[in-house]
Amino acid sequence: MQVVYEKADSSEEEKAVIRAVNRTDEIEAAINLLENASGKVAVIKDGQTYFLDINKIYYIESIDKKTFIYTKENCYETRLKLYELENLLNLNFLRCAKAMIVNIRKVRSVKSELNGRMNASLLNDETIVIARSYVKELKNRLGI
Amino acid sequence: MEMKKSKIIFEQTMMISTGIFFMIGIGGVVSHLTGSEFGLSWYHPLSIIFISFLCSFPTLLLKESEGGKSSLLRIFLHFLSLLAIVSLAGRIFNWYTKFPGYLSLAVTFVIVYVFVWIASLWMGKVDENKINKALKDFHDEE
Repeated sequence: MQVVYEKADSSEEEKAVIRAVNRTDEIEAAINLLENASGKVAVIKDGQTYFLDINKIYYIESIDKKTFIYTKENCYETRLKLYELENLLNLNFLRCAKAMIVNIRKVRSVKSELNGRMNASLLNDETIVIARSYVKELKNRLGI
Repeated sequence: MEMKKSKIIFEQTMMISTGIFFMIGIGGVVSHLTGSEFGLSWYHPLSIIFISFLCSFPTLLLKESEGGKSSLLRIFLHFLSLLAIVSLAGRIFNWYTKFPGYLSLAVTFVIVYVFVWIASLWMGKVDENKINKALKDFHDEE
């Protein structure tokens, strides 16, 4: 597909037009990425509400019916459920366990374990687990 | 979505029966080369698949393992469960009648067990390398 870039004079003029015969999965993914690239999610920390840029998110975890969002150095709580966030976030985010979503762009490397799971080392040196059943989806997302 | 247990059972059944059939194939070649008799009864192939199916259930023991010592203990229990299933099934299906026959079955089992683990570890390592290669171009710079 031919891609055309035109410089806009202001952010109000910014617009992406995709002209295609069919709305394929790839086009859907591109739309999702463009629509959510500057997306924000409401989070709470110390009683204050903030709007967090989704690209700052490292991973999201659900613990005891509460949802926590982790960035490089901070942890926030959100009222959204994991499945609601899954719909809100773009394709960089992958369900990596029953109660966890990870931002693939924040994964430095993975290491396979005896039981088929993978330990993912994040850019902030934290390690999370990618369950065996989600490894295939990770490979799909990376085009493997 | 969580990988269904039925899929794990199916995959394991296929992998274990392939391993056993491979070992029987090797046994056949060795018998042919040494001039010994080699033959299977009509029920042997199906009984092998049935036993592979039974042997795939203890795999669920490993599914939720947390790593470290717990993993090693689960692997040991997994090994013992499979050996017990194979020994019992061997007795029921007359795969052996005397101790040397049982010993041969047990040795074959250990070889197949190690083969399946090596295959699984190798596949995991291949995935790991592919993913890490793709991640190098994909992850953010921080």
